[in-house]
Amino acid sequence: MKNPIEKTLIVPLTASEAFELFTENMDTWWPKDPFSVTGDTSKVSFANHKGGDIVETGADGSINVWGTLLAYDPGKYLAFSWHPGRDADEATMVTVTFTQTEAGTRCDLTHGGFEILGDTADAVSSSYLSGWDLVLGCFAKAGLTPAIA
Amino acid sequence: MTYEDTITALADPTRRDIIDRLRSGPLAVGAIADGMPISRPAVSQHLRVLSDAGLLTVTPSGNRRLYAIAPDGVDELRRYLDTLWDDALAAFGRAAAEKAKESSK
Repeated sequence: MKNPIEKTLIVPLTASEAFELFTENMDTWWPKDPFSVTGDTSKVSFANHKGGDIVETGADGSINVWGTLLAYDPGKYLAFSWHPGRDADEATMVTVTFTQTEAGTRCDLTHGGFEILGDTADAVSSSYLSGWDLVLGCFAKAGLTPAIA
Repeated sequence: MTYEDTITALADPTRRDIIDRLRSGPLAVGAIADGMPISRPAVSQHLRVLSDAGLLTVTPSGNRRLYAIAPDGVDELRRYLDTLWDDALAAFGRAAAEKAKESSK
């Protein structure tokens, strides 16, 4: 679990367009069903500066911060912490690099920071869980999110 | 066993407490329940949920059963995150194709 998750996608846009779609227009494409706290009636806003937040606002006005921008380099690079519903110090990190190629723009996404998990046994440690159970839980479908006994 | 089972199993604070107690090594139910504010049958029930979710292994030892953290227990979570980004980037790709089509009109 320690190695980062790595994904690559080429889109038929310029790097600037791809960056803008990913960030400013995240609300238009992010699969809020099932990957959100309050479902597809929520709105996702993506700050346009370092230090700003990625925020989900539910139809009922509830606010869920998904992460904070650690780097915001338009058309090139994004880095943000990822901690839906949790404290920032329990976050893992996502980076996205936008590279213009002849075929379009290559988007390389990594989701890492799993070293907080330590060894395999530690991966199920309380520190891991406190940081991750709700992160994962809130991204499960609402019906799957368990009631706390 | 799916990631939903894993998430469900881990979302309960008592079960997280149990996992925490097993970090130093395998224990029998009596030792796990020791000092916990719930009954031993309740602890047994939580242990069953954790085992069913693939997070614990159970090994008979004499007339006891020893519970331990399953080494591959969090693999489902990893797969879940993989799915999350696959789905999210697929949606991003579709939106990008749509946007490219619009701007070429």
